[in-house]
Amino acid sequence: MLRCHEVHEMTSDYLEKRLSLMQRINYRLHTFFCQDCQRFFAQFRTTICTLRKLRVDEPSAQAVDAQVDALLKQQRDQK
Amino acid sequence: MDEQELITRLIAGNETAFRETVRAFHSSMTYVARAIVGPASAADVVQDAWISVIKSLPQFESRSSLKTWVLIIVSNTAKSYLRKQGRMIAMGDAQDIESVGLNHDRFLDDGHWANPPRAWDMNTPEHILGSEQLREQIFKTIGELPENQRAVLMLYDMEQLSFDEICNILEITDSNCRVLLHRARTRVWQAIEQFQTR
Repeated sequence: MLRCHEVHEMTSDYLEKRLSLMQRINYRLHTFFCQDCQRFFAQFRTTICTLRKLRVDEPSAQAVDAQVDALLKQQRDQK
Repeated sequence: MDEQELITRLIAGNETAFRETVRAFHSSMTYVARAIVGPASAADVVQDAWISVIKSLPQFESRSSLKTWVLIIVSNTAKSYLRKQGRMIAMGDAQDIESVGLNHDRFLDDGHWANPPRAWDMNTPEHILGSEQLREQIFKTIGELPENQRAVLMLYDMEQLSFDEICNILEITDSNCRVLLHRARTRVWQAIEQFQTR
């Protein structure tokens, strides 16, 4: 039987389907009986879903313009 | 606009296409550069990488997406920058990975939770992201992650690249990539937990 600490360590691999069949069975067995790990699993999955919905702010138009202008200048200088 | 059309316009020197591409790729490129050379030199690396991208675009063979190809160029530019400076490349450094694990005071010696997860009031992504303060806290936590963890988290969970692509871009092993991802996610989970149970 896995311990809670091991379940925590295996959770990303479990969610990414990167565990062997036996590891998956052990993982499920543990979480079936352990309410703390059930809660952790649910919260961890929510965390990942949240990250996937999170959008990094795009750079401002000014920052993009500055970058593009610098690149175009550099290209011109190299010609 | 599909990718081939974008590439054609970029090769033709279309400035609008170039601006759109810079806007779309800039954050990812910066994350990769920061992960390899650190924050101080990342902007220089990104700029040099763009020059390489522009020069190499006619040779782009579409074996990967344009974005992955661009990010590999950023990675190569960053590593070349480090070599010129005589610095070591240590993206997947095992010691670094070991040093950033979950606090072991969360667990007892027998491996059970000493300090189990507490219930969250906001338990859906929509609720979590609906809180401006919590959203800011998540961004702050991501910003404070070690560079290699942040790069893997950002490329996998946010940009949704594959493990293979990330290992290729960052030149880390598959197992290190998995550990870095799990560590980074754990940090974010802890940040959400701390915010909700404070």
